[in-house]
Amino acid sequence: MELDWWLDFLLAVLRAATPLLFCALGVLACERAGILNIGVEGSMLAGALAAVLGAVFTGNPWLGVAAAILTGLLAGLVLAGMTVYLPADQIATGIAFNLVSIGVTSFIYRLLVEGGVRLMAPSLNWGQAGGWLEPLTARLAIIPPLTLLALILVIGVQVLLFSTGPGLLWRSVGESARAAHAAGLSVLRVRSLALLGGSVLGALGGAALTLGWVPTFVDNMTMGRGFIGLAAVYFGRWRPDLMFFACLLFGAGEALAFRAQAMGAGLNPYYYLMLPYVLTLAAVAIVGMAMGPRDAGKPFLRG
Amino acid sequence: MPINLNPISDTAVAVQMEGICKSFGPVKALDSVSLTVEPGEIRALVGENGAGKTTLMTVLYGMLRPDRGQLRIAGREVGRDWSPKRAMSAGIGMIHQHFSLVPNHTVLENVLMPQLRWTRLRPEWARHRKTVQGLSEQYGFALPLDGQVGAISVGQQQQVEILKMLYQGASFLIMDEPTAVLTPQQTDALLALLGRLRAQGHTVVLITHKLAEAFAAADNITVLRRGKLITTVPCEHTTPQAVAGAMVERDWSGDVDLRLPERETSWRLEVKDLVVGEDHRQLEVDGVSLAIGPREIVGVAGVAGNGQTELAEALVGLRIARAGTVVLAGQDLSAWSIARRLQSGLRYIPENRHLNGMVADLTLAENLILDRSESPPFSARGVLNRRAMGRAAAETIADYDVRTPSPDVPMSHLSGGNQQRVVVARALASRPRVVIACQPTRGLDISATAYIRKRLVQCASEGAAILLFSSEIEELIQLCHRMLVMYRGRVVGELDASNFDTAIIGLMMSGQVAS
Amino acid sequence: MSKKHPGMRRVLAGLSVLLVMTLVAGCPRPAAQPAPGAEKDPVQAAVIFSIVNPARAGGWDRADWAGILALREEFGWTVTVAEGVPYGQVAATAAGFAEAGYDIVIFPDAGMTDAWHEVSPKYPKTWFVMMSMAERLPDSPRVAAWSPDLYAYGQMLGVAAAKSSRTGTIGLLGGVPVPVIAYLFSGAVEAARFVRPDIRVVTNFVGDWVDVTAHREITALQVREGADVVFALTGPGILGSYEAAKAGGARIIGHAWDLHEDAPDAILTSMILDKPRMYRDLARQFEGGMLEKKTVHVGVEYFKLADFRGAVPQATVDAIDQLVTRLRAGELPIPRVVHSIDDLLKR
Repeated sequence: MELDWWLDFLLAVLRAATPLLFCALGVLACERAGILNIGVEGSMLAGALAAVLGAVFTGNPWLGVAAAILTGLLAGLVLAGMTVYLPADQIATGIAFNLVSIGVTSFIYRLLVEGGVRLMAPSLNWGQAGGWLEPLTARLAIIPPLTLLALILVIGVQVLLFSTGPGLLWRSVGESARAAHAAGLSVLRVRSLALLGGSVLGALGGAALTLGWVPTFVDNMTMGRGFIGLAAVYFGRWRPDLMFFACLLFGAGEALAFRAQAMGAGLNPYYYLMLPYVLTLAAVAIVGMAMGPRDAGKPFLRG
Repeated sequence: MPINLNPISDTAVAVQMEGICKSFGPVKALDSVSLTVEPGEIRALVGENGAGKTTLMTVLYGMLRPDRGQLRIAGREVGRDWSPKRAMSAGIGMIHQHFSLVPNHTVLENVLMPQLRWTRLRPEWARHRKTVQGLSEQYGFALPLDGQVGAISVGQQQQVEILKMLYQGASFLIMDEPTAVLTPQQTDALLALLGRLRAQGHTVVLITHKLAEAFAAADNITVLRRGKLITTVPCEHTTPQAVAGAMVERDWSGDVDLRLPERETSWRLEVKDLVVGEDHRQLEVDGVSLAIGPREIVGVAGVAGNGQTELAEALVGLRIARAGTVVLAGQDLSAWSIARRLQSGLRYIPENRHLNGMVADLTLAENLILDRSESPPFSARGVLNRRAMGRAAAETIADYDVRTPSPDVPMSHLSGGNQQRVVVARALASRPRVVIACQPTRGLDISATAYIRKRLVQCASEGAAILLFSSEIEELIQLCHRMLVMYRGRVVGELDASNFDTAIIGLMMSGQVAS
Repeated sequence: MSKKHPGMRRVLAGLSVLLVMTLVAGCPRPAAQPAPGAEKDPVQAAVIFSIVNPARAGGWDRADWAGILALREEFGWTVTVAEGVPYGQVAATAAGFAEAGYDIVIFPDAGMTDAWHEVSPKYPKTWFVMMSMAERLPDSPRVAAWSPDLYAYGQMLGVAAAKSSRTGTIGLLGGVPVPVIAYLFSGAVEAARFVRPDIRVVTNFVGDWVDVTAHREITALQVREGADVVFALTGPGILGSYEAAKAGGARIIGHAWDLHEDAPDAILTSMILDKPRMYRDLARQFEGGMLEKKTVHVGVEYFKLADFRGAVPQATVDAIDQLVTRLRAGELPIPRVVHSIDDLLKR
């Protein structure tokens, strides 16, 4: 293969991996605080629609990203209210949230479409970042902005979790809410903040899917990517660094699935299209019984 | 950061609680309790279950807000915002019965955690390590600072808890039933540590229902009964008998008559080379053989987690044994279902009544016949006979002195002791041939304990073979003809009633002597 | 915070009840009985879609939607639309309409052929009409099909694609690899080779109708392989193909409906299938009492290319028009070869 092919492939891998990275980080941030963020798929979908709408109505894709972040905060508030304060079952709430999210986004989308709004947003690239950034952005042009942000976040979360004091507190809440509570931490507050952050990350995943990839929206366009992010967290043993490689692997599976077909090996197309899913399944099977944070999924009741 | 390596008396706090009241629904858990603890003393807080010992201390630690009453720390009354955090910064630390540790984190991380702040990105790890190391050595702990807490012994975990409190500058330590999880040797070590803490000027409140420990360690003993403070006396001016008398309401005449029946020479239950566990892991039960005759009580001692639970569950059929045979009166029941084992007269008193012993939302009467619900007289053609159930329940309530407003209240409304009476009553009803009794008196107060022990002996004298798993050595010594000691899934020692010796049993439990 | 939040729960429960009540209130009620003395009952027809929002989905569904509008507005029919019905549920949904007394149930999608065969014999009083390719009719007195000759449709499209390509490579992109699409693509491949023997055709399937990112990636790969004209026969995922075409300087040929307004700078033209005309045929025959058990072969007169709107030079448009005219007249001896999906995928 010529160099050109590889470069193209690498960029396709990054494109496919970026939304997964955001979602996986969103799941990881929550699980490390003891919350199963099944609702990440819903946050992602809501973020995808918000990003497109923001970009369409303002004409500026960066404001679309801001809209996605706001939507993520809103989703996080709902999820935190349900799973941390009520507390309702985290898995059931997450699944219900995902279903509601599909319904609500499809409903809004249809209202807009019937109102004559065309949902083709401008793509996000360094160009719109503003003139004074240009010396910097010219060099970065090859890496899309949201991909760069995802990479920085992965490194940041890795360092924060495993080499800082707050990281130890964060992990303690996920490992043993009792111990954290006894040490004077507000478990509910930490978990709520983690869910806010996790949902914002999920929504950013949606923004990466739309503004960073195909700047439009269709019903249920995330198509289970949030769950692949979830699998990446398990495969990555709840560590951002390993999780990053898991996301790259899944992204590569997706990019390869398209390419293998285009190279015309002549096999049934479904064979290639199932590749990312088989990879996900295989990865989870290889990891086997990995132990996540001990208190993940258990509601914390004071007293 | 408030790190005080050598807290001395003047930093230790005096605690005054006055007229503390706390109700949970209609139950008065604390009824106008006033308690003063002087700096530098070891105070034992004794009482039966539900007497309010733990409740009182959780009020002091700020985890519960009292309905009424005042709390003065070092002479100053605390505000309404009293919380564990405030208590901690006032030097009061509480070690709960269930440890508040993070098993997947290292010892050092666990000790440091409460000191860390969200705003401080880079704590001085090296300085912390040095201080913790020094503190650990000062109190004679041999703790691997970088070892995972989940991998060290329970005794060491308790040391980590204590170290954590000390490192936060606690000079007033509340310990809730600290010896419940320890071997006799570890218990002795802990009591010695309490002495060292006092020597350093610390104050300790020891919540316990074991009078021997209270007398071994404490300066003063406070007795609580039904939410009321009965008395506070210096140890040297009282006797265990007097304290025990103060703990129970009725006249209670020391030991019940527990004459053991003569055992027979034939075997009722024979277990050969039983193995439980999975590949690639330490086997939970590693080739255990034992035999029990009719009218015999055989005890199994051991530190929790050495295969006792698994052995019991394998005998009852809750776990599949990988190898070995279990023979009941000549019949091999290894391949039998739980139901068939029950039908052939095997009965089980589970270690954890909440998990395996009862259905909390069903009524007392329903729980009582759970294992016989499909056989007469309790059901005919699949329909429950409520009248027969009511009769059986009334009998049990009378026989076992279960305190309940009616047989039709949900089990969850009963106190722990009364729940356990129902569980035991069910197991011992209808002439069992073999009883597997696991921690039948755990967490029960003196009178309930005595009653259940009496029932077990009575059951044996009526012909049953009883295998008794207990973490209370005294209980085993009192009730058993023979005692087996388990360590790491094996039976490492067998003793006859004639040569029961706490010291030897303790050593066997820690795997140090194999007889 | 108290432990259980009974207040919050009560509020939530109340909100849920309210929500359900509004849903129930919003439910469509059975059509009111016409008042006595009304001139005549409107015809009751039902159309079943596997996708949601057919008015804005792929070109195929939009063409059906235009047909439905024609039934409603030109013939005064009452048309009920069921959306998002999975293929496995189509038979049950159709049976439901038949039970409710509908006169006609319309299947717009060849994927519903099995359901058509399953349900129609059970309700001989109801008409079941297939508005897509049908090989044979079900065993029931009141069935009909308007079956487009998709091979001929593919031929017309192949002519247009081959003639408008400057690079000499064209792309064919299908959503789900089903035999009907392979049949259509075969016509396109053969016609393209006939009018331009040196043409290269790259064919791909996305695997579904809706995944926009997958559509984008695969279209981009076709563009990388040199395709400057791509015919996309798929669902809402086509938005991803527009995106890839814009980025790579290629053009998309839409299917069934004029998709120009979707992406004016990405659409070359559209290969129109006059589905509204098929619906009008149906309505006229039904109202005239002439509807009978038969397969109507929908041929080239129902197919036409949408306006190129200046996307290619006028000379090219003229050349294409000329070829299409000859094709309609049957003057182009294009071989009729049906390729399998695997053959189409080979480069």
